[in-house]
Amino acid sequence: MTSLTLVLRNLTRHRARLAFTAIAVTFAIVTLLLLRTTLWSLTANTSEGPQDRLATWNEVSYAQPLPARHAQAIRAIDGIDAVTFATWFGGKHPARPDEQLTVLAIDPESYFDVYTDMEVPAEQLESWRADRQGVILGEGIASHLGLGIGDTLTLEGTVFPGAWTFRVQGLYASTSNAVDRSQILIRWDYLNDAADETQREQVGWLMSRVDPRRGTELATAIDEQFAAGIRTLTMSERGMQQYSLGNFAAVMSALGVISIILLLIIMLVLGNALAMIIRERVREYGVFAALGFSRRHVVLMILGEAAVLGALGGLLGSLGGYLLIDQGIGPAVEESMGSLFPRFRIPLALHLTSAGVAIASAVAAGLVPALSISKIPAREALRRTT
Amino acid sequence: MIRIRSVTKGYPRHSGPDLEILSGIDLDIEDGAFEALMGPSGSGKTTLLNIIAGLDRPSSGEVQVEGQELTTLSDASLSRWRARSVGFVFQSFNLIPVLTALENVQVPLLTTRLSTKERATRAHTALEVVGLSERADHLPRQLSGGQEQRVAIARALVTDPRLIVADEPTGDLDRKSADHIMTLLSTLNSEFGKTIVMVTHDPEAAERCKRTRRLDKGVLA
Repeated sequence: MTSLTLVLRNLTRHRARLAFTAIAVTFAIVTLLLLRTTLWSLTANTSEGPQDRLATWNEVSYAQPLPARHAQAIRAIDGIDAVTFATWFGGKHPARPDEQLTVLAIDPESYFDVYTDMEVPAEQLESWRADRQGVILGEGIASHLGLGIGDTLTLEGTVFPGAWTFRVQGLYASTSNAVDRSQILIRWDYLNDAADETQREQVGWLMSRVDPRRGTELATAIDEQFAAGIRTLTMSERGMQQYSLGNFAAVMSALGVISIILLLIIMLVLGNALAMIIRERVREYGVFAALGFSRRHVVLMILGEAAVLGALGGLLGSLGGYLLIDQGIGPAVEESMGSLFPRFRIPLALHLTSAGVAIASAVAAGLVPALSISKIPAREALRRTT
Repeated sequence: MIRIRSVTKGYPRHSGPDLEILSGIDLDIEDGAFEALMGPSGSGKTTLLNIIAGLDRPSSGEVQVEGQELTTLSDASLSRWRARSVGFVFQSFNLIPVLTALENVQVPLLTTRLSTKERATRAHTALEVVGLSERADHLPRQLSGGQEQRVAIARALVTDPRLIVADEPTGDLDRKSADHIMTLLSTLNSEFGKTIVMVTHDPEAAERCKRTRRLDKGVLA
């Protein structure tokens, strides 16, 4: 027999109580994982996105277009490795009018030279470049719409009115958590040729790939380049994402506060269970003291039991979170809300942190009663009937 | 073995002087003794036993056991001393209900550096001494009162202490089981050389001891 045997046997004395405590902690941990995954996913663009891209917008507003010729001018600036551009198409799927789709018209020649974290098989890219009505879909949206290579996709244009028909020529994937897998990428040249006179030769934004160490300097250089004409606002892609996330600041703060409340709930649940356990065993702790266990031994024994209880809740919570998020709602969220939540899965670090939080909460909750019980003189503890 | 001089023990009261439990106790107990402490309830028997076993501290006086002055030891040192020098037997057995007999006997060894195998071997030996090796895998609830107390005695023996203190070891047992326990304690004293100090109300149990001392109102008669 080891001390761990003693801890485990003690824990299973009241199996119903153990089960209810573990379930309560499990629910709290699953909820915590859901909240933290939401926060992590919302900020993945700013924390995990590439650092070598600069986004250039119209200085007046994100909604105002820029001339497509700006791309040539930016390309000429020393230090710019590649430039591309895109326009918001704003289409709806006729069968799913309530769904918000991310449809971008992109430059077929340069887009994937800048977005190096999006991977399209070479032969699919070649087919798309050869087909003006071709479309490349993110894996998430392709799965969501049930489309594959060779299928036809018809969209109802909102910014560019009319019914637009495309052929799926490729699917993109990514290993980066920051890449939205729900994008629908059509060709800008096709859109440009078909658009009204007033909408031609315009782009929504430009994106440049640069040496990250020169990012600030080059952003200034780009904006100075257009100081005399249609003025631009250039910032890093991460900076742009942080700017966008500003709209969610209140929601993110609320999620942070709820996370702290959940931690307190976990501590209260565990603290209550441990307090009951300790109260019932005062006499036994007196016996242990009589048998030569020091105060430290008694405290460690109680905290060991607390840690195992916390670990059990943390493990079950982690498993529950995996089933609910990674195997349940995560893929659906990525497919339908990929621009906000490009990857909605629990990161390994979050699994480990939540398990650690459960254990630490249990130990913290057990510390005060353990210390107080260890101070009861053995002769007094031995007289207790409960 | 045990040398006690001028020991007093009192507890503070809400008002007035301390409640005095022991008054000026002088006591010598030889190595290999088997002694009973008797007296009415509240006479201080258990308090004196606890002081001898290092489980309680006197208000004043000296307590030496095997040459070790207990009153000067820190709480941690006193715990270590108890672990290696004293075996406890309680009236209500105080076995851990979720551990088997064998595991209960191993509990005092958890504070030692013995390997798991060595702990099990020693516990088996202790159970053999008390005649319960065939019940090693039984939980306390599967044992009779007499058997539970024998397991408790095996637990007191497992660290091979020279001193065993017992607080009413037959108090919760029927006559037949009480006789078995007293026979076992006598054997431990006579054949294994254990010094045994026992608190009891039971005159028949006290008769089995080599010597009986009486305590009344905190004073040894």
